Amino acid sequence: MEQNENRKKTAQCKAMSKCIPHETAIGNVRLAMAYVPYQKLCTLFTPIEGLKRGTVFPELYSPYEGEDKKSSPYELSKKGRNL
Amino acid sequence: MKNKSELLKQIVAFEFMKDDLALYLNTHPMDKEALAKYNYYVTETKGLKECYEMNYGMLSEHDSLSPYPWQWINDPWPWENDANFNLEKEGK
Repeated sequence: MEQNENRKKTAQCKAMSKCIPHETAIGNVRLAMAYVPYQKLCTLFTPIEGLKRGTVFPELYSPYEGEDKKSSPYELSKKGRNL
Repeated sequence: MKNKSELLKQIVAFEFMKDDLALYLNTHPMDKEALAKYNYYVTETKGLKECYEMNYGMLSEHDSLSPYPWQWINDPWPWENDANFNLEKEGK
């Protein structure tokens, strides 16, 4: 199972563009439990780029860009009105 | 041969690479590819530090060899601007 997973990952990584940096399905889920998808290694930033961005994993690079549009009350109320 | 500040920047960047890969390996101890990358950066960083200390002086006050006389006081203190490199912010 573990080996299969690894082989699958290696195959994904050879075709760089197709590499998904996390598991896409989480098995054995239970109600009222929270889950975090397991990260998978794809590409890395160069050391300098990583230092500038605060992570060497492109999939984890998520700079703060002010107000989060999706969760702002304004957007939510607008969505509510549309519904 | 890189200048002092460029070499220091590279060392710090490689140290960060090791830190981040180590965090990943804590949760992925069987990931051979990540482990190989981590080991690569450990070796490379050692070489860079050696090169720095041979040419530019002590990197650490407690972990670097010093010729006579004591070299640590020659350079600006680590918190002074001259002792540090500039890291351009990534463009926005």
